[in-house]
Amino acid sequence: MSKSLFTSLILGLIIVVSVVGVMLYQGGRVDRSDLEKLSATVFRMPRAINPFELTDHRGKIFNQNTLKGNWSFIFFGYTNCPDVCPNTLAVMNVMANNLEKNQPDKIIPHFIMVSVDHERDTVEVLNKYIPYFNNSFIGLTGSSTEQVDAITKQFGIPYFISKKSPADTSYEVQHSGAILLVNPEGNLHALFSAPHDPARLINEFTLIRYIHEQE
Amino acid sequence: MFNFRYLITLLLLTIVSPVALADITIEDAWIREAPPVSRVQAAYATFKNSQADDVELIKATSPAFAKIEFHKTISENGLTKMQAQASVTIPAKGNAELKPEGMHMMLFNPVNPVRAGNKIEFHFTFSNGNTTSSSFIVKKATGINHHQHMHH
Repeated sequence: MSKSLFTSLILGLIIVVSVVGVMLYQGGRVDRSDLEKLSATVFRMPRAINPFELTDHRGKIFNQNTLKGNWSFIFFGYTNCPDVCPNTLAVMNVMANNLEKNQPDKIIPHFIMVSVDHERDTVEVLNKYIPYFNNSFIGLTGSSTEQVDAITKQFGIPYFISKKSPADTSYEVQHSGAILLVNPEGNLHALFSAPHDPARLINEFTLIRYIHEQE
Repeated sequence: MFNFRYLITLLLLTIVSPVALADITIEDAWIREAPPVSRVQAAYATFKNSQADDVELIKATSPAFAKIEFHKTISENGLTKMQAQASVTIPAKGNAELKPEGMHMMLFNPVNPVRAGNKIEFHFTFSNGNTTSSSFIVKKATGINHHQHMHH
């Protein structure tokens, strides 16, 4: 058995168990108090997202309204990141593949990486980087620090560019490793802190979505 | 008969006598394939120390990369950052695990792009003066950390 098939089966099983678990609780017995047991921080009141405007890796404008209509997982990173960013995008890829296989009736959430390094991460760079992980993933960048900060500040995402000199092009960017969840109304709904485990993320997302749909 | 017993004893002595065992062994050695446009990538492995003393891994080189550094991914005040380390401690009778989002080798400027399936030679120098070499396999990472430890 191939390793990826084995992984899919295990994750599939976990999802089935969690969905069955949710169904067993039906009849109003699953409620918001269950959300407190999750490792995710689920906001008591989803927060409205103030206007921002970024460009996606295909060159299209992406703003707060583009987030409406579907769940979105949003991660902040940069392409010259050797460890955390490619690992998080690989985690998101496992999530995307498993949600697709195991919940065909549901619309697959958006998976988004917002670059916190707009100087190096141009649309062209993101256009080569993002599809490497998954063709349906979305990369976002800004044309100025202000554009990037319009989303990072309200999402509570700190980052720090450690340039040694203005000419330095091999600098590191320190950034939050959190993944944020935006609901289909376009409001900030939950926060997942690193390190990320795809099975746990899928499990918790399944419950968060179920409870949100009941409300 | 005496000669025969003498021979057996000699053979036994040869088998049980201390032979030069490798004190550091390297397992699960792999390199994350760099996505297009990324100029940096990371290598991971488990270093096992069979000796009674700690050993420091002080240097890593590879003909495939211009420079290799030891980095640790740490989270501090909500920021994830990398901290360069002068060496990696491999504890006595223990392991040093270099794994995603922990300690790793940061690989700079590949001589040629390395692709999934490639095998890359690494050379290591330890604080006790020993050196060793190991072959690292390039992989497109899956995102599941225990995956790398599963046996085929």
